[in-house]
Amino acid sequence: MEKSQLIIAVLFATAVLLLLAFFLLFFLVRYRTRSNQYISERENLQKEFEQILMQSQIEVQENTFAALSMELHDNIGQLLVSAKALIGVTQYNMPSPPETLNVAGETLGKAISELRSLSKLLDKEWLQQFDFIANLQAEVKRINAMQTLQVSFSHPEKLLLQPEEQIILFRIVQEAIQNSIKHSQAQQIDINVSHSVASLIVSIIDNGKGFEKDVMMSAGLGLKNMKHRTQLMGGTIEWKSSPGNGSAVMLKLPVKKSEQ
Amino acid sequence: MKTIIIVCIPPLICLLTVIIFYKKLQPKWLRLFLYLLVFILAAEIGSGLYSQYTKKSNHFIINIYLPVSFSFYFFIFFKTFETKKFKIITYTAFILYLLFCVYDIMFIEGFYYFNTYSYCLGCILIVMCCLLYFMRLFTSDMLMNYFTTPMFWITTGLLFFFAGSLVEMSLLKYMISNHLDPEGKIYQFIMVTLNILLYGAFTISFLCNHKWKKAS
Repeated sequence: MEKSQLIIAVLFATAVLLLLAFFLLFFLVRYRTRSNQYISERENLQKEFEQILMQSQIEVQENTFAALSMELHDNIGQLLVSAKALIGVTQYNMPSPPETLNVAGETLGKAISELRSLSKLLDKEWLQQFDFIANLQAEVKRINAMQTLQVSFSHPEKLLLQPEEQIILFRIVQEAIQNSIKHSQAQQIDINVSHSVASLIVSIIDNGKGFEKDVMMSAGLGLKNMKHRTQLMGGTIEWKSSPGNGSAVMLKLPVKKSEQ
Repeated sequence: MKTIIIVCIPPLICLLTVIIFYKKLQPKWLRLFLYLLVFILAAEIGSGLYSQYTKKSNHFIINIYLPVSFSFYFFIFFKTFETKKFKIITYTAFILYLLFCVYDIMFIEGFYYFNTYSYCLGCILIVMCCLLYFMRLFTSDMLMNYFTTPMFWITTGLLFFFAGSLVEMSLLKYMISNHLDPEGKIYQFIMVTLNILLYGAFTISFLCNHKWKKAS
């Protein structure tokens, strides 16, 4: 082989190897672009499916609540009203009714009032007539009236959320309050709602016994529902707690420009 | 002197980039490039000056410099691969390369002659690691942008450099002994081009990280 031929062969072989490397990269990048597109579409579909699933789960739950509200109001409520009427008649017919009967009558009156409040809170149609702040104020008033614990609620004048979003938020806060009452033995719950630049910040803080993070991880349906509901609105939810130091639920929801 | 300057400009630019963005480099092992590049520059300048002033072969410096840089490249592949299988392959390739280097120095080409055999083996093994890395990217089910992934650029540079230098280096001994490239122009042309590709890709890898680009 001549000198120049060998040099050409070396240059040619080097160029071929470089070209091969270039084509390999070109093919890889091209494939990845398509693959990224496919993965992105798949993830979007998955997200969409999860949202639809969550939406239908919430709808089923709302319908169950509505049915329960109707049952409380029309059936149990009526039975209690009848019982109170009977007590009233008995009180009227007795010359000196015993004190226990008077107390029973008052207790029954309170029970009817509580039942009506509860029935209203479960009724979706009723909720849609009022805004989140009014609903939560009513709920806070109802809990404070029980005198087992004190709930404070600070809020802006108006909430920048759609009515259906306000219902979802209300259910989340309701669940958080119920958790504090049932599990933490709290004496005080502070609910704070405020607006930041493009989001709504909600915090529910109690002074209860708190919990370990592991307990939280193995939590039941309630916390999962809270998480799902928050995700449905495109927000984030975070729990902060440690044994003996109470617990805090921090919610951050996006506020759309049209709502601002 | 001119050759030394030409050869040193690409790694020097690369080194300056590492120094400027040192604290922002992610993953953290990218910071090790600072030491590699200082070592490469020292070896390139040292070997160039040695041969120029003493008129002797500088191959023994290259024979020390190459195993160190090859070991570094095996190390970064080892750090990058997540699967045990790929890690074992990289580790085995590294051991095989080192053993062959020792064998080449002791029994084949010696310490004072350029070890073309071990260089070629190193080239093939690094190209193999590059292909393994690309295979991992190819089969990955994650959403990723190659152009903002530092290792993609590093591997691209290594693939071009070692695939490109394989032919020239494997025939180097033959070409020298037969005076086929007496002034070394072909060698210089290929190596300078590949150097630009290699250190250019390294420089991009230090600049491409999307996260810190957004943060700064």
